[in-house]
Amino acid sequence: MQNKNIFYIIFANILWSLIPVIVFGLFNEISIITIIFLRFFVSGIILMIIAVLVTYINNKYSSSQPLRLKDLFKFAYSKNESFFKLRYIYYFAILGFFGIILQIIFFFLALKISSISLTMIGFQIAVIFIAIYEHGAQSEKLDKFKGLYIIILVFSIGIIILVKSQESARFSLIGFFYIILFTLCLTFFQITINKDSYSKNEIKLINQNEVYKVPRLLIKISFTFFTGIILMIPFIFIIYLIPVQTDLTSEIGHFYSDLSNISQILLRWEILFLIFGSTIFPYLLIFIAYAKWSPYNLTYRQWNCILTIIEPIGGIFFGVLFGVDSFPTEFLFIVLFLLIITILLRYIHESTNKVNAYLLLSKKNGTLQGLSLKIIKFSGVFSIDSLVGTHDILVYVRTNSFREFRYLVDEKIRKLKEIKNIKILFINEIIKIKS
Amino acid sequence: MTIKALIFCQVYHKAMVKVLEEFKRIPEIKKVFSLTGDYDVLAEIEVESSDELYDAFAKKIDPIEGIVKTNTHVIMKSWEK
Repeated sequence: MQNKNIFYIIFANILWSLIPVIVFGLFNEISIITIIFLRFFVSGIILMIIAVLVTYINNKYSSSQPLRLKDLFKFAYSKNESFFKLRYIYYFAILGFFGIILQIIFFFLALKISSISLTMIGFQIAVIFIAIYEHGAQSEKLDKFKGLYIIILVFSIGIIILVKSQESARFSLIGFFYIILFTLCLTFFQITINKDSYSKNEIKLINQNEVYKVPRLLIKISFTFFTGIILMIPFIFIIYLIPVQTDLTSEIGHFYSDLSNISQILLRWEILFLIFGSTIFPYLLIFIAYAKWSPYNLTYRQWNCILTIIEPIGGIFFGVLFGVDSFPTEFLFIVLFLLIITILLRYIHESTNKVNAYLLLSKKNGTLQGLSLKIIKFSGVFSIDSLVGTHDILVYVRTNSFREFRYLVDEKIRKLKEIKNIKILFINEIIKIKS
Repeated sequence: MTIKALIFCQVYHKAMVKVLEEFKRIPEIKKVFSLTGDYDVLAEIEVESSDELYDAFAKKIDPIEGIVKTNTHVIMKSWEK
């Protein structure tokens, strides 16, 4: 089952890596704003319809607890405790506009002005920025594998820049400027997308029916798309009014003229592929993998970090394969080889740093009710069992690093006034027995 | 109604492999965890009644050589996310 989930992540990344090849041919005819508007607006509607359908099918054909659409929409107005306690709707708007819309605007501008392979370095730089952020945020150790991983990434970026610097037509300062802006938005997106935690009420709903996670994710991403698009409208209007001519200004002008034949543009195979093949389908794969993730191996987030480099690998490879980009074969193989090595290094780093443990807790009398829900909300806690025996609660913990583990145990659980004693049992091996 | 129980075991030095092999043969045990800490092994059991739990423990687990001490807990309620 886990291999299937890992395959879903790989396949989703391959589909995303086809985006540059698909959109490259559109840039001369259609505004990038039109492409973005159609892609996220239509995908948002379809993902919302799928969320409603999943809920309907569950309620009609499954014997498990019915899901209420009211609960699913209600969470959008609750507070996100992992993101400055802002209401989810504001979190979606910030994530949607800065993390998705601006990221894709700068990504497409960089693709249009420079080349696919050069733009792809944005993914590699974002991975380095995230590693530095995680190190700074004390959540991850920069061990030798991660250090080597970063060095190889820097080396591969250096080769790409060196090779592309030979093509003066597509190597410009403004192209680099867009790549940097795209990288910053992508880094923001990757960090912020994980700042999402279930409320106590949602944990109750998940334990009544695990399917709840799927429509919740679909609603989360469709709200993120919608709010991003809604904020894009005043943004492009303001940019258009500023009396300075930029690449974006001409794209916005082009977008206004595209509006008259928007339905014809929507029916182009490239746009349909972008919507279904490179947005809806990969997101569905990712959500299924996330919802069905087995709790006893590397986390979904860890595998996602390991496999995220597939997108630039695929982007560069497909760009050259379909003749949209040029790259000397010998350098192409070196870059692809280095990037594949980074996947292995990242895997080793994640495997050696993960911490799997059980915590046996003893609690003070009269505190059982509510304590389990309080603990399961903490990041790194995956399941809780209320026990009858010498100890009261068994907590299954899985963290990406020992730093995270220490923080969870010492700064979160140990500080709860209901806790009397904690016994830590590290898991060396899990043996599943087939019945 | 399924009863889930957890059996924490302390195992004699060098008896670990043998104990794990014995556990694998017991159908009521669904998962086994090798641990580092106060206990060496955790066995997750699923049975249909308390009689079955008693039988599994008294007839199959308790007689295994190499187990020094056990501590059994019954799960009342589970939460996952």
